[in-house]
Amino acid sequence: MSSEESFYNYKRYRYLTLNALLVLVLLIIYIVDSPLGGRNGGTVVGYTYGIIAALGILYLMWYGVRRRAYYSAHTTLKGVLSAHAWLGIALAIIVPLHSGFSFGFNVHTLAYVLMMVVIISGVIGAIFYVDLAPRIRSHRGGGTIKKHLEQLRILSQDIESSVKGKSDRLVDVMHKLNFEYRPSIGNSLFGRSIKPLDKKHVSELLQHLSENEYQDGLKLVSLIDKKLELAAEAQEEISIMTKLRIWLFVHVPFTFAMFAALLAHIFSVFYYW
Amino acid sequence: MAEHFDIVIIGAGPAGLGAAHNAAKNGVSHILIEKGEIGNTIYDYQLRKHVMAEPTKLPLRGGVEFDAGSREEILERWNKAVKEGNVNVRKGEVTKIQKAEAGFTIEASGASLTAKQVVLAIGVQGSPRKLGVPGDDLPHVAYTLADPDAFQGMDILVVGAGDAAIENALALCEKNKVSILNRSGEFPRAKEANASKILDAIKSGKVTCYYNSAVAKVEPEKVVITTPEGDVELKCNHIIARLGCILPRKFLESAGISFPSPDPNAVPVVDKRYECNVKGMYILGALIGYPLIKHAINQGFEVIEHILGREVEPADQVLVEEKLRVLPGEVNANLEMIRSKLPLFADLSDPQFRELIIDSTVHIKKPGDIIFERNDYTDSFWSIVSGTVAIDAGEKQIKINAGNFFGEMGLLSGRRRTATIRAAEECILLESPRKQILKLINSVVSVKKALDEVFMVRAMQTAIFPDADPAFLMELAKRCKMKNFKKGEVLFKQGDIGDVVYVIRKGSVKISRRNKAGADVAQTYIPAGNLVGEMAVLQQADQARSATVTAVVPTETILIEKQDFLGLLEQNPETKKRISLLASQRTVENITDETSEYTGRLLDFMMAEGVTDADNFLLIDSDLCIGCDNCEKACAATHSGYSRLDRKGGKTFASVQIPVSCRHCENPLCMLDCPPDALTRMPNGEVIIRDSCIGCGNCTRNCPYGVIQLVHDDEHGFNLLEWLGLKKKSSDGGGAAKAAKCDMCSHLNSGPACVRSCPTGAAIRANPRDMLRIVGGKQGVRA
Amino acid sequence: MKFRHTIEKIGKNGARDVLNRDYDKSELVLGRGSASDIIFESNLLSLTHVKLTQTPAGLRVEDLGSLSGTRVNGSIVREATLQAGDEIKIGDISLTVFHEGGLWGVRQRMEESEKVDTETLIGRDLARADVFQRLPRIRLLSLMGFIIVGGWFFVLPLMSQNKDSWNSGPISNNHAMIAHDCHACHADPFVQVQDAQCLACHNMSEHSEVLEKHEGLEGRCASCHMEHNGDHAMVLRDSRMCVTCHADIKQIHPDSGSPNVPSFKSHPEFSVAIQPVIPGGVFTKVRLDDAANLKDNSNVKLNHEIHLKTLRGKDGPVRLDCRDCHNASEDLRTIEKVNFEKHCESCHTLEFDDRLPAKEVPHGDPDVVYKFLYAEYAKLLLSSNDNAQAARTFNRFKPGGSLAESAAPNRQDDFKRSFVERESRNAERQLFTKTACYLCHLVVEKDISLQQATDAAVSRYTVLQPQIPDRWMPGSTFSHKSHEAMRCDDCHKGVRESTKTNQVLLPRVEKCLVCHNDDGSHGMVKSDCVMCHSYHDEQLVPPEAKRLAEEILSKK
Repeated sequence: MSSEESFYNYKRYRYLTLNALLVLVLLIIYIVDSPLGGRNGGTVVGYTYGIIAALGILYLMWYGVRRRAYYSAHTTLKGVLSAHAWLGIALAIIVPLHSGFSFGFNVHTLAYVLMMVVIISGVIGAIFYVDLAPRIRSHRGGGTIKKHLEQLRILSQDIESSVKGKSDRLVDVMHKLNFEYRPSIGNSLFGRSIKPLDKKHVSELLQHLSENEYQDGLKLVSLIDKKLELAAEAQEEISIMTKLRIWLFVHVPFTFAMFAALLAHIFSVFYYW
Repeated sequence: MAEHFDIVIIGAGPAGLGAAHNAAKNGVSHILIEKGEIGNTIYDYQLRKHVMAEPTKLPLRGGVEFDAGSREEILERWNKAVKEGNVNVRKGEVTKIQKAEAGFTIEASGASLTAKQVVLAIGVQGSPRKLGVPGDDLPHVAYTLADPDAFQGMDILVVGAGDAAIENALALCEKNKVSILNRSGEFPRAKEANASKILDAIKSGKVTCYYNSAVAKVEPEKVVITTPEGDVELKCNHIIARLGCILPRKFLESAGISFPSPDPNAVPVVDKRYECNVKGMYILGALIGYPLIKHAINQGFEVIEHILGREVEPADQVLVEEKLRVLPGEVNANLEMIRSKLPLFADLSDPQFRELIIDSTVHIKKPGDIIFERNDYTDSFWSIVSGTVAIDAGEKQIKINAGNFFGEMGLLSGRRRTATIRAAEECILLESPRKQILKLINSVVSVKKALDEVFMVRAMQTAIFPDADPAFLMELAKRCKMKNFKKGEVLFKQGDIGDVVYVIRKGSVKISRRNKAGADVAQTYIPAGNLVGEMAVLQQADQARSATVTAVVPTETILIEKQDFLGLLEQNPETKKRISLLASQRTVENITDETSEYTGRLLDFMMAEGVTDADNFLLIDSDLCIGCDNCEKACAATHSGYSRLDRKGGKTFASVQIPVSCRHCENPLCMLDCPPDALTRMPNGEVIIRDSCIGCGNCTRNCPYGVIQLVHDDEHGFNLLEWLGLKKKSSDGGGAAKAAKCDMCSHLNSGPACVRSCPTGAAIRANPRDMLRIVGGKQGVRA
Repeated sequence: MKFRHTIEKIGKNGARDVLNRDYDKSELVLGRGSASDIIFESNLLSLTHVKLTQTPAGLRVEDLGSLSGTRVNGSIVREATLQAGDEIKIGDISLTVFHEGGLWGVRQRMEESEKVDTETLIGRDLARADVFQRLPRIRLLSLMGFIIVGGWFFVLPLMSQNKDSWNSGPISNNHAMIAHDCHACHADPFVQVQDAQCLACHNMSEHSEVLEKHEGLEGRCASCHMEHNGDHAMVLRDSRMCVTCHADIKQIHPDSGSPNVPSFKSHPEFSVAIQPVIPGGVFTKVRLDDAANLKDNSNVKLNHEIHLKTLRGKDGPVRLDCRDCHNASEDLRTIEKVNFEKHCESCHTLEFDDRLPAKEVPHGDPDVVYKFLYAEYAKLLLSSNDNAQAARTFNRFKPGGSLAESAAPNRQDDFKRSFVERESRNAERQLFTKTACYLCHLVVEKDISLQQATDAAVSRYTVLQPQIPDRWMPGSTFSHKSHEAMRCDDCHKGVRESTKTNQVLLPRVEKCLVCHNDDGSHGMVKSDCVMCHSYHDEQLVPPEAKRLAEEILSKK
């Protein structure tokens, strides 16, 4: 972990404490209050928590604007993201309190469900940000994905040319061990991990080689090992890069879906008051 | 029989056009000879290149219109001016100019002409540097490439390693077998993009490259090149040499023109009427150090007026008046008075001195006024016309009287002022911009010599002998030599015999010692204004150097021989004590803090990245950075659409990355030769590019870290489809390309936008200590 | 003899250039290694892959033990003889045999693959690895998300009648028939459900004139009757609704008679509605602990004690139990009033004359009883005409009356009427004062005029109007059903010893507090005001609310 302060422990977890306090206070009031007709969105507490949650959601959505407002003078994006993250998590508790835990197959619960999807994807995103950042290799001068692919292509060419003019036996070994690395999102996100050559199989293959070709065989195997290692690295790098952004493709669209549902909820509740 | 014209004007650049147009207007028999196209240099610009009209405030004289615009607009206007002004133009290359008794005889591609006066306005671009080998004038050797598609399936050799050579090689290698000849081991001067493209082409075998080799002999279907592995004979039916262009010095000297100094960028001396040492021959424009188009046009107009004997005020007279308005009395008298009072500028030619005045400002200071204070980041050069000025560096007060100058340390590329200067009595001062003085240093020998000596004295005074009397130092300065070291060059190695002391005038050096394992570990670095190598010199007996010293950036040092140094020390016992204390302290340091090999590598990295002496550079903590590039977007958004920061570039040490963005170095190399002097340092230390930048690209090449790019404003209107990603982004890229680099968001009061908009706090504006702390924090190394 | 190997190179733009290589060897070895005659640059071939020999029968091809084998016209062969047109495939190289003018040869077609430099290949790999190039941009997805959800759950319901998705909870059964039409209750948008909507169907008291005085309380129907919660919240069972006013009723209703009831625990003593002594008067409200006024003026005499002992019934001893008389209604919510015919008649028969054994007078108004008696005796008389025993009594000759008159009809009539009258009056008196009526009723003899005495329809007696109250506590409801498990005299203490009817044998409030308390703690029964009382007190319906209701109803 980095000694530098990141967004979650911004100013020694300032926004975590603030939001925890808020939730605690709201929880206590919620428990103490026992309105006529039971706890629901329409009681005084229900209305207040509803307003708090709505304002919270607007603030959270405002983050998109703030991220692109590069002229802001007073706040840093790290602080705003910290507030965004912790308030988002707090909302997951405040909104059920607002509704008095009443759910049903209607737009009101849909808004909550969509919000939970947004919050969960947000939390996943935050975990990715914190967990994956140190594992990005290209930042450490480990070469970007492009470099990896270039080296892979060169290595493949070397492997091909290393067996030119060699015995069929060696060519056969090459065909058996060599592999075509196709970078794709499927196998890098959830695909099969690239396993190194299993020693027994390799040594077995190399036995058949004639005496003088044994060295070539070893060289070939080392090249293929290198290629495997590079492919694994490239795959991990691609999966990290994808993971770091793929969650946004859930987080943001669902936010707007939730926003539409929220508007419908607020409108319908007061339209049919 | 040779045709006769009163005036023969050679070169149809802006100067030649100005002169020819004015001659035609006055009905003088004239001829304008041009080997290429009208406005030759501009013609060779690539399509739609935007041309500047610097200096904006200079009024334009004569009939040739000119304003900032695209290459096509300017050429069209000039062709119109030539047609309407019925200028007598002839195509032809002048090969010889001979001074005859009544005037001149000129050989121009077969025809011979005679003329009373000759106006040389061939500029610099027109004469590319020749191969300089036998056969380099054979027809199949060319110095420009018009149309790459004209060549099909031929063997072509491209000589050179600059952008032009690379672009030509890449264009030709599609349909021809191309090989490229490179004098050095790699392509340092080329733009990043070109370098990587050519390297890729070489790797994929499309272009064969011969490194560290040169052309030995050119024959019709063959060329012989010397390579490190010996001579190679190449079948080639076309050679393109792109070696840049030089002042056609040999050609000018063949016409009898004399140059003030052997220095390659020295310019011929001309008087107020632009007449050079050869009577009747006038030289205009880039040849006498005026590359800007407007100057050239004005000079063309004025030289004809002079030839016609009409007294004409130089075009810039109005500017001079405006500058000298602050002084009572008549302008020209004041001009002469100033010139007489400043011996430093005695050898300047009239135009040079006028240009100096135009660029400078005249101040009248009352007693006690502060001219500049210690640690200011101003870098102008002050000359005292009358009155005296007092320097209070530390407790003593040193007086400088009229005729001298001060503030020259600023010339060392924007260092902080080392002392506060106050006006001792009522005085008139001339403040000239650094750019002007550097230009004069290059072209006027006397100015260079005088200033060098003063630099040496000043350097020695501040670094080592504050109390030595100036006269003795001046004397010593004459005996010392200046020595420059390229980046990475070793001043002296551990173990050599120490016989000389180095005073670092500009740049900084690295002290490294071999540790037990024999690895050369960096220990510390010494910025400019300090002394190196004194330890081994203190004792009479020869002594081995205790450490290796290497230059981290291009460094200028002053060498003092052992005997002189010791002689000086004898003279000032107090300094002697201080020096030996410093020496002993360093020896202790060498032995005790056996810094870990890790810090050594870290220091090396920081020095390589030039951040040791930068006090505010951008650093990215790789443990936090998620590669979202919001920093680049912020930089682009706050700087007219183009990011001055490249996160993906830049090197990494442990988990700390230094992206490609300006370090605001202590001695910025980008300031070296910026024609419009657009690069200056702001009061609180940032190096910024002002609007006067003409996009020449010198700074982009000079910056060792490649942080400066030529950029079009990419203001982009909003397009819904593009915003939704349903349509490709169309970039108009209009407007002039100007140099752009990080300016620390000095125009925002919020501080750097990149740091402010980093979501995970990975981007940090740091100084070396922060870097040590962050890297240290991770590896347990004490900062 | 000669052998030709032609290579056809098809360029990308269709340009075809043919290259012929001739060998004059009888046997030709094809393969990857330098030992072969024709060398093919492909790792899929062996060093020496296959041998071709020209024989009179055709071109013989022989596999030299290659690893990837040799295919002829698609199938792997060890060796075969080929004719012109056959196809040999070794590794990824396919050769077609041709035999033109005595010259054997093979033709190899080579598609000039698109010459792509590594840069674009890497670019393609990168593009394939970059998921984001293939996904639509986030902004587009967000816009679609917003439009889809917004349209489906906001615009569609707004525009159409189907508002189900906005429905925040199931409608209670009672309102099922208007559940589909939101505007039935929610008349005006952005306005809470007004009472007018409820009163459109429900004729409930407004209880509002009390609440109007106190603006703090929101007296809307909907504040207590919460729809959209299914059935369970239709009536708000929360005592605090009542207690907020009744805890200190004087504040709300200065001249209110009812005491302050802050909670069930401190519920005042129950009060009953005591009948007025003279029927038709005003019922008075008497607390159960106000012994002095607590009298049951029901004008009916009933001695519980006797009835609860073993009694002599028609057919043997009978042991009565409470339910035998107080027959509770089906849902035990109310107790049926005691009814003579149903409860008493089985023992207290209203027979009046042994001569008419099964005949009983109707249990009703004395005049009706007398008229019945009169009619019965008339019938008796008529039926005795044709039976001597009856005549005998009637044929006795009255001295001094003339025979002629006795034979005359009106004397007959007079005799009949006086018989009937006499008998009925006699029976009447018997019933009212001796055998029946006086047992339970307060009988009063009327001094009626002679004319009335002979009137066949006027009884001599009058019975004090019985006033058995339907409900002792009209202001509340009590469900005997839920107390089924208890015995009657657990609450109605002293009924077994009660001899006087005017004793009011109702349980006091502390009796209930044994099992009931406010919050249902300690295993007690949670009891709120609504359990016994009803907010809507019909008597209190202010006239203009009724008028408004009728007006809306008339409009419907």
